[in-house]
Amino acid sequence: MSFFDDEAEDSLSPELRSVRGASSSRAQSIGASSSSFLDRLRSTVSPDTDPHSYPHGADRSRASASIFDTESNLEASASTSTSHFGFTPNHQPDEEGDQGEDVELLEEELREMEEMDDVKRMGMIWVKERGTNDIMGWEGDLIDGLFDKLEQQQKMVTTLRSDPQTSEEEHFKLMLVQTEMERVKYLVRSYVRTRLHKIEKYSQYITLTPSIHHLLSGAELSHARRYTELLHTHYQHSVLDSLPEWLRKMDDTYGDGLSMVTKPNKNMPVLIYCRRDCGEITLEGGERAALARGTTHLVKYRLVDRWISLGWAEVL
Amino acid sequence: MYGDLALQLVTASHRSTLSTTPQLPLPKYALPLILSICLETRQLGTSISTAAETHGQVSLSQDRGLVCNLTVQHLAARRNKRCLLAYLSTRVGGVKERWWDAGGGLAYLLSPSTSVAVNPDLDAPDLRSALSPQELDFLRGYNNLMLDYKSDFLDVLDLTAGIEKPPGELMVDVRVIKDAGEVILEGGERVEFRKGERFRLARSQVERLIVQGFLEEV
Repeated sequence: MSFFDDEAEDSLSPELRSVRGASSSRAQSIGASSSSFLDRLRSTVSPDTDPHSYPHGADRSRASASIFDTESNLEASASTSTSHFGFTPNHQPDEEGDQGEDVELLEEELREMEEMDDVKRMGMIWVKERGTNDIMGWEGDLIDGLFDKLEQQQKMVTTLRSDPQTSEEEHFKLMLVQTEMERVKYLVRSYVRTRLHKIEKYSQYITLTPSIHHLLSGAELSHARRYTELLHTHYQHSVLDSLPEWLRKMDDTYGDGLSMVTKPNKNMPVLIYCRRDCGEITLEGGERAALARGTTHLVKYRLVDRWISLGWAEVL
Repeated sequence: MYGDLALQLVTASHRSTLSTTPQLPLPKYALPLILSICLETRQLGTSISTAAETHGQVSLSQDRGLVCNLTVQHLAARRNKRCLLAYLSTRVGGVKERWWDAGGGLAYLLSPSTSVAVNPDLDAPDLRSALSPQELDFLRGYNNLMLDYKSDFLDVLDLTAGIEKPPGELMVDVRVIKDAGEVILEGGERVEFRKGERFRLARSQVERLIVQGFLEEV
């Protein structure tokens, strides 16, 4: 089996094809060494964490497949020049009619959700976190999983890079893997920072409301507490201490009902895509709107927060 | 008029937020104005309590002029407080923004040469002198807080790296615009950065130096 044959099936970017054309004379000789490359790749991954079996089996480079086990990801990283993400939420075409099969479809979809790989899910929760301004649950397991895999991948890449037997083309492949890793890191970083921004904005509200503490990770909660304290000390020292005593509180409510504690504004509109039938909602004016499966709506967050937290509706 | 000074404070603060791009240097902390607002508020406070004491409960329910007077003073005092806090929190936002922009480099942020090097012709105050001592304390506290928070992630990723755009390329061409001396990169490589030289390096390794203005992307 030639080294590049499987790559061509994946319809990689033109650049890689040209590489292939240029080195086609060498491809035969590399073909012989490619299996040993894969063997070495495999041997560097100590535990086999991924139970999925690959349709292409030994043909595929394990390095690019072990973590980001969708084929589209390899393509995405190969065509980096287009600089846009390969993990926009996938919209299945709206299957019409056949109410009887609905249950089956739903089950199928749920299974799909579970089987979605980590990077895709990370992309989804990242969009969700950025699309709403309420405090969302912390996806600790997913992040931990991603971190484990990133670390493992990094080790693998380092080992292979320092290995003198690694050929030119293999180095190129490693580069793709590394680029993909950087992209995943970007996702996680952006996700964590979006959360941090919200947490700092609503730190006092979070500190005062124990019922939402379960949504935050331990580190985030302590960050919220300490940030509130820091901010209040700052205000206290800067001005409040020189005001009359009855004006020194930080949790007053003004005459017009405006509280000093900033809360998430649940009336902000969100753009949602209904993965399942979400029934009807009553809008402000008494109007009713049906949230049918496969439709997209722009509604106030307050009206659909249940569906979003259940995962029935996806924030875009 | 009560509240005039406070109004002045918030309008100035609002104006400074209007043009965040390109980022203007943070205006100097308006200490005199703040002190006079605090003074005004304290005077209002004493005036309210003395009025209430001298007239007592009875006249408060009868003398409508007095009630009106007290209400106005009370509202003015509360408004002053609100304006002061609004000013402070806007500034806190600005300080935090700068911290993140500098990639969490506190020493770099506060070094006096920074703003001079970036815009030598402007006589803008550097960040350290624009901040009040309390704000400096806050910045230091925030820095510690973030260091604690990001240390959990540090073995895998650096939280303070930029998130403006997703990484497109692994490698980056850079030109050295300021001597940085010898820098040890990830993986033990030593690179001597001298002004004018060009390098091709992994983006994640030199990201910080780009943010801090030692290197420039070509």
